[in-house]
Amino acid sequence: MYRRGLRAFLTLAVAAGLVVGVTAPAVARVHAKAPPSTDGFDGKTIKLGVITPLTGTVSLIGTPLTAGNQLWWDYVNKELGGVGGKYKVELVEEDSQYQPATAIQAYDKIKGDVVDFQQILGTQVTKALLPKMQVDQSAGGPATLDSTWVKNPNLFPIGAPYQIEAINGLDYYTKNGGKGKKVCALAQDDEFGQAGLDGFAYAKKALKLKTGPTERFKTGEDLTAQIQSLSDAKCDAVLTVATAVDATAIVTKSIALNFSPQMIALGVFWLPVFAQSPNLQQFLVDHVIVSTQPGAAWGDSSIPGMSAFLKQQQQYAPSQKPDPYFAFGYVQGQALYQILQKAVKNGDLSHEGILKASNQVGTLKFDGLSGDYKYGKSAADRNPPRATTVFKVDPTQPIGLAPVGPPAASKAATTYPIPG
Amino acid sequence: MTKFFQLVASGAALGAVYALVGLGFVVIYRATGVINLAQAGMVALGAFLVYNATATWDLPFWLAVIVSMGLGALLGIVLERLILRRMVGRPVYAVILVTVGILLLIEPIVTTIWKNPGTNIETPWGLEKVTIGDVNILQVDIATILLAAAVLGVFFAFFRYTKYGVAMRATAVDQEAALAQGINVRRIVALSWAIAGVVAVLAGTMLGAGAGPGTGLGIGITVISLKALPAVVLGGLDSPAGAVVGGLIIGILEVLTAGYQSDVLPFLPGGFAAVMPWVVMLIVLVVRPYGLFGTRDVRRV
Amino acid sequence: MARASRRLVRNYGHDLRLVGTRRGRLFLVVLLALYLWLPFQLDDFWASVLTLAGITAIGALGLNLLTGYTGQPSLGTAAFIGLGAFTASYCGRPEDYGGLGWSFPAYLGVAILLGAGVGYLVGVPALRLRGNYLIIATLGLVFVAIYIWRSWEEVTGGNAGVPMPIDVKIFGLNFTNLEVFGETFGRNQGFFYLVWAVVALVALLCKNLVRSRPGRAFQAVRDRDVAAEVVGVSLFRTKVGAFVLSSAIATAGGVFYGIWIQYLVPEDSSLGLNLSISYLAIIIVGGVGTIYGPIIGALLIGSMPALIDEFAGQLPFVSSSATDSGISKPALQTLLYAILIIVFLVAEPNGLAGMWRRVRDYFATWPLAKRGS
Repeated sequence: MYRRGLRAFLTLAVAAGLVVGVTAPAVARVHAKAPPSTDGFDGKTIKLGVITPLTGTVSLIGTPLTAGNQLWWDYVNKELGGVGGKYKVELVEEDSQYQPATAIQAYDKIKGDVVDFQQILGTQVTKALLPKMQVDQSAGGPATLDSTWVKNPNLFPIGAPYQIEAINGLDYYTKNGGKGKKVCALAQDDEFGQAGLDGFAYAKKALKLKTGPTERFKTGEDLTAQIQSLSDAKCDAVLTVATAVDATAIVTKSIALNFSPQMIALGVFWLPVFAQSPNLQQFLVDHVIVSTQPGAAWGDSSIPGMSAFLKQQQQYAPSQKPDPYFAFGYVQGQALYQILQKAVKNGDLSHEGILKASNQVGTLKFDGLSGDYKYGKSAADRNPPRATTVFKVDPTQPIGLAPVGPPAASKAATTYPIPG
Repeated sequence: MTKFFQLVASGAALGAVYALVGLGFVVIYRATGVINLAQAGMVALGAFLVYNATATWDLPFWLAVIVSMGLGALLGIVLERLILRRMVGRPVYAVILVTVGILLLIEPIVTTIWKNPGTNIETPWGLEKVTIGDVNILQVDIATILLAAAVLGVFFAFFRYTKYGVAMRATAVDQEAALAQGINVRRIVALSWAIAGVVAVLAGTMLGAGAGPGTGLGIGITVISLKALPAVVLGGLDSPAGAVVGGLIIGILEVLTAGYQSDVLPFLPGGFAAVMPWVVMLIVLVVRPYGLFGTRDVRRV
Repeated sequence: MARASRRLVRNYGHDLRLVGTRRGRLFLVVLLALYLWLPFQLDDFWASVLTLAGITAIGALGLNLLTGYTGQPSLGTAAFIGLGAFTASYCGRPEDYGGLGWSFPAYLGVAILLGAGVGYLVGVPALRLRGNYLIIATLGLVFVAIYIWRSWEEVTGGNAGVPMPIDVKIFGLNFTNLEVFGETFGRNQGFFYLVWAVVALVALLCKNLVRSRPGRAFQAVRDRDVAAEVVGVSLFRTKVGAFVLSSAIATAGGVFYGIWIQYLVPEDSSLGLNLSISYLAIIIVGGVGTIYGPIIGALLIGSMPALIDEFAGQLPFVSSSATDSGISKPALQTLLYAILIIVFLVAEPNGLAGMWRRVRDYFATWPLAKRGS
């Protein structure tokens, strides 16, 4: 009985679905009949694309990042009247699920609707989209800090690259009790991990480090063997190139195996909620330092741009909890804003126009929320900020991290050669 | 030598997790002949239920677990009644695919309700450890091993000495004959799903507390739970003792492989340890499909 | 003389006919016209959605032979898709990307042979496994395959994956930039033509198989394998043959997938269990045991994410941005997908094809249709 009723319902649903399915392409067609060189700009509103994981394990980075983007544009739209005082900005968000194949489909879907991309998250995703972006002359802000992006003309990177974060962290360690100690590495087995290890290799030479084994892991794997190996090698410090996705497992396993090195982690390792975990807290406070962008110091009034940022957050995103990715997303917005301002001034919001503006914008400034980024006359001239802030874990702080000092660029970081 | 013992200890911890998850697979397979792939999702859901009880409802840990066990049993019964009962008499791949559908259903529900807390379930064991010589093992891992043994013991007593347990064994051997004996097969099947739900909550609690791989609370629990399949295949799909033994063997082998692979099997690319359980499963299926302790499948023409 | 009708056949020749009825022939003509006309009308996005649906349909047709007609359930399709995709990638991509730079027919041929070979290797041990055991064995195969892809860096680019800018040229037609009869097509539209032509070819192949002796052997094995053996159907040849054929077809589907996606990463999420599940779901929703079933299933499941995107934003409980509460669109997609699988399995085991048949029969026998099933 129940089955018959369900069947009838299903048949009707399928019929309805068919009607919708047949007319949908027609509806979409109406959108697409607009000229192929659609700018994402209709004379009033500028649209920017966001391709980021909104579901899945990496959404814990993608969601606050996008919220940070949104905060910046809310501020610009409501208080500055939009770009150039005239044009409001709207974000078009697509879920990449952190996978290149999905991201490519998302890109194809919205590329005609947007002027350019505010945020593209993930090293693999960025690599996958670059060939298409080169063909379409579009550009975007990568939410990944690999140094390979610095000199790519189709990307608008911000922030000190992973390699710089690693070098500065190691430099801090050697100057604060780590001189002559054995430094090892635990890195994710992919491009991101390799970026950290590149920094490690450079720092090893520049800082004359005594080193031990490098262990690799795939995210989600059981880490007993790797941690055991590092423990057996009696490493005093471990450069930990991992994201927040594996942070819990790494700390738990280290505690379990009685391994207590000085852990030097990069920005993506951290989530504010870790500092509140009663199990992990002690280890984190005692053994973990994080080297990352200055803007992560939520609430630090010594940063000029911080109070404006916090004020806007209270007003437009009051339920947002302190989160370093949220701040990073905000800074991404600031960067693209400066480029778009230039493009509007030049009167050209086409892809080529924006690329041209990016070579005219000079140095991108962020009021201390991120290091100044020199953009120069062409992508080959770009120079990322070389300063990062080293944080220790402090559960009393809003994001659980407290800076050990002002943002600093070590000599090794300043001389690190950016590829390209 | 210490390295070896440490790896064995950590492997046993991982294996205990596989064992607990596997017991859930076994109880349903035993009663219905169906491999419930949704069990992996039920474990994750169980973890989040306990987390919800401790963090949101602020219940003390033991009460939270008991309440969640009740909810888990309810979940099992509801799933069986609403979905699995309609699939009686259908080809086996259709039934398994329905359980896959349920598995897929669980992820968006969990991520929508609880987002991604990024933290562990708070337990009385915390991350305290026990050190014997040079070997360390977390208290929560010891608790998992003991729990797996305890559940196995309960199962053993249940199947041997209680009315429902014997009825379940009869149903597993021959449903029609059981019906002829006056056993209410429908109730037995519902009971097996309820038990699977309870076991899922227990397994999820330990995983969410940081036992085994230590990843803690997150939707990744589903992926880890799927790896219990090789363990139950090795042990025998319808044998609870097999699930525990198989789980321990697979867990220990996995960690030992990770630790010694570069020495013993250098020609194999890295990361073999993670795929080794599946390779073992394939070998078992080809050589001895009913595993170590499973009942041999005799087909009558 | 009465017209030939699908339901009333009067001799063996009629039964075997590819398209039995006049209405059927008309339908094919309409389809052909649609095929030629659509790319002119579709924008990039919908062309890409339909092209991907076509690529999926190829693999689904292969799986249908194995599971739908021969009754061997398999969750291993993703392994063969990966095999095809990486073969195409390694053999097809230009030398400065680390590949061999072969032409399309060359690597397609190699891929099909490889797929058949691996299918044979899998099919022989699988003879002993039935139902439950076969499904989890094929599941294990997928994980092993991903391990192999991840480790074989030279071929697959390892963890980082590798871009594959490949142009597909056949008989002088370059499908990436199709120029035909004075019209220029973009990549998405060009591929639409290529892929759906292949779908038609594969569908024809499967239909021919199914309506002749091998097809009957498959179905005999599915229904009562012991009885089939008694009657003289070689279980070995039929089961292994089904594996070989379906693997070869799935691998071919994988070749197109690889060329289409242009950037492959050997990962669980894109080439793993989820992919296998989606293929199985497609043939079940579409209707096992028919040829057009999997194609319809592929179209439905392929376009579902896009449709949800267009129309779900209006629903009140759906959040459209990262900051809203409520269910996110991708989560909603997974949810609907899962519900679709469950509901179809429970209520409509013959899938959309079965549904269509019931509707058609109802009208064909109206007003004499009987209530109740």
